[in-house]
Amino acid sequence: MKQYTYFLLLGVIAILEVGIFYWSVENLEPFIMTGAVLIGVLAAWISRQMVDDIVTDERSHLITEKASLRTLQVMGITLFSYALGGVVISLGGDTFGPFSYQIARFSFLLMFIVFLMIIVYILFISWYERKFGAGGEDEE
Amino acid sequence: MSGNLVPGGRMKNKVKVFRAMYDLTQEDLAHEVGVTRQTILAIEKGKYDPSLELAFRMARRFQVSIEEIFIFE
Repeated sequence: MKQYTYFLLLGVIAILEVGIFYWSVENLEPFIMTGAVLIGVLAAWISRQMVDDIVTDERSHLITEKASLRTLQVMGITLFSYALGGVVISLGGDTFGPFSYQIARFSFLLMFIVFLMIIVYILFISWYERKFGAGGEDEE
Repeated sequence: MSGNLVPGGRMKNKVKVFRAMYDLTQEDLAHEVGVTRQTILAIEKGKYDPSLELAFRMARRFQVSIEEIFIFE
């Protein structure tokens, strides 16, 4: 498959996803939408495997790695600071009104997500350390 | 195995010269060594140091040693 055909297919998948989204909203079908996203991503991934041209190489992988790491750092800090701010608002419930309890729930959920993200990150780091590191005893 | 993204790095190269000697376009060379044309362009501009494997593939394509193409200053 040519790269052009692949991009065309991506466009078709995107249009289908938008259509399914509208349909899901009209018919209140959240599971259909969730499933459609997963199937869409899978379809896009399979299409990409079928492209004959060289689309990615070591340089693009390196760029993706760097961009992913920076995104993780920026998002982690942003979410964590936002969550902490929310916790402060929730602790001053009387000052900030009844909505503060909803904010508190959301902030704690957000903090849980941030910590989960950090744990997943550490697990991946140790996984790749073991995979690409020099494990075992040092030769004397 | 991956290279290094180094804008203004200390590694110089003669890829463009060898490409001209063999009358190859960036697209041709990219296809032969299995990377995208953008990667060849980045190497020629010194914005990307290729992995050892890619450097070997390029050297093998031009039938020279790696040191003849890539110079560490």
